Amino acid sequence: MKNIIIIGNGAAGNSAAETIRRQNMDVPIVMIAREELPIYSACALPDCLSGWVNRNQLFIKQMQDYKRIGIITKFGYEISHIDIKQRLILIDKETVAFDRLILATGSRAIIPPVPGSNMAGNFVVKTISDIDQIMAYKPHQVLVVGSGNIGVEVAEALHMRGCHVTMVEVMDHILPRIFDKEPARRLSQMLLDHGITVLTREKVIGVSGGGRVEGATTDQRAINCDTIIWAAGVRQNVEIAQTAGVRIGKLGGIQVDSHMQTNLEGIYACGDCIESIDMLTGKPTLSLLWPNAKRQGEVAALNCLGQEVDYEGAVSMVVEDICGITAVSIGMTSAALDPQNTTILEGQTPNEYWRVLVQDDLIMGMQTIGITSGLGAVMTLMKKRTTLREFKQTVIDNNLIRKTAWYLPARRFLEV
Amino acid sequence: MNKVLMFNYHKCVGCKNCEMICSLVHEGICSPALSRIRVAKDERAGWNVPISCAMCEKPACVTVCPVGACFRNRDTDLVTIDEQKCIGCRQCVQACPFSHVNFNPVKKVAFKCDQCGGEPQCAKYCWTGAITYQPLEEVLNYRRQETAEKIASEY
Repeated sequence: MKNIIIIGNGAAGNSAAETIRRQNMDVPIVMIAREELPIYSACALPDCLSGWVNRNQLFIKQMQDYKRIGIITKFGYEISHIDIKQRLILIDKETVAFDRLILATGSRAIIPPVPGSNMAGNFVVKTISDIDQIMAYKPHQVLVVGSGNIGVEVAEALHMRGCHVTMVEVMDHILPRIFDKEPARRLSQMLLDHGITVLTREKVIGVSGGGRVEGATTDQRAINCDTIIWAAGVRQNVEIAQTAGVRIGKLGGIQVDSHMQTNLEGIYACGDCIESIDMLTGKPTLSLLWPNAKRQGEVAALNCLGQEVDYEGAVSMVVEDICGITAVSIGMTSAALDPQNTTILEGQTPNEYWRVLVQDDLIMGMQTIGITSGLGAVMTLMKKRTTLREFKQTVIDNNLIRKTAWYLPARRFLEV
Repeated sequence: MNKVLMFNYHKCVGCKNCEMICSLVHEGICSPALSRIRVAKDERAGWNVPISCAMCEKPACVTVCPVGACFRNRDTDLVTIDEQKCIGCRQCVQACPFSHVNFNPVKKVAFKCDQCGGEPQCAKYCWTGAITYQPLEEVLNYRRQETAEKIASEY
């Protein structure tokens, strides 16, 4: 093999590069990326905004770490064209030849085309430079649009910085993709008690101000603010790949097979930019989570080297710290499941709340508030597709349970 | 990783000496909440099972860590948490199937077994012989024998 080019310097790209190096010390690896920075943790950006983590702590590698494992870095470059036939990549008038290509181009935060959303004071939280810009802007009254993980984390972070924060969500409840209505109601109550205004079923339709943001209008009211953070979702960076002839799926991500190969021979894709298969349902999904990106990078790298490894599918686990309380969501939500066949095992104590979603005797998802341990066992049972019947049989058998003592923390959630 | 920790739950009496010594050598105080090793027990059924890090081949804690604080140390081959890098997001605490990774509420970082740098104190101070630190091959032999005896006894 001549050389491997990786486009992207995020979780997936770096995991791919490290995996290749672990298997093969000699093959040249070239990494091309837009940002002139070593890899940093995008998940921890809101924590940096709140001041909990300092900026240096975000960086996972230093520039010399790439050199140490023999990765040629071309950071700060835009790719203008990929020539599939000639196997060349054109970057700023320079061409680089490749043998195998790994696309890990990631995603970008979108700002909906609302009038006034191009004014100063509109931000997204996706890269480290976004954080720097927000800090330099010194926000006081903030409107956060969207209440996904990033929306909630940023709202809380800016609240901790002393800002007055309002959060707007267009759907029925906050965190719509990872929590059901009841746990979401409890979480939004926690945010309200904390001093963050939460407005659901409202859509921002305009931004007002003369050059700088001075306010926003929703379909129900006008809100005073000097800063707007758009956390309304992301779009996959697939344009370069698409022009090169890589097939794009229905959800907007690059289509890959279980080997993470695209429709073109020798061209692999992993991370946020792809459409992967959900481990539980087997349906295409956009996973957009750090651990999934890392695993996809590994699979792409191994297949790229000729080892046939199948991707087991994406599974989501989101751990949020909301007002000092841990909230966790694993797997699917009820909205994503067929409500007729889904049983909900719910429970609570004064400080805890949990619900487990069960379909055909299999665990399909779990959402908890205030529970700090024991969920790893439930997650593993879910991934192993252990039926509840099997679980109960093991737990009541004194001999079996001693051998699988790790089942124990899951017991109180799964017994009814 | 030539040697591994082996737990023989037939021998464990649930005294939790290991939890005391573990927190003492790592944190300077005897506090089961700060111990790496934990003893799961069911007093009514009468069994005790010490649980520590399995040093998984594909560790869930390493996969979920967003800052690279949890990693497999190439020199020792142990799954390790770097306290300096840890941002306390608790992803690993939730992801570990054995509930082994724990959270230090004072330092605000996650912690896990480091096998005391090659001399696990839990094994040294376990007076029942339930916890031993042995070469991997010996442990496999023991497990193999145990399974074989179980199969043989069923005939």
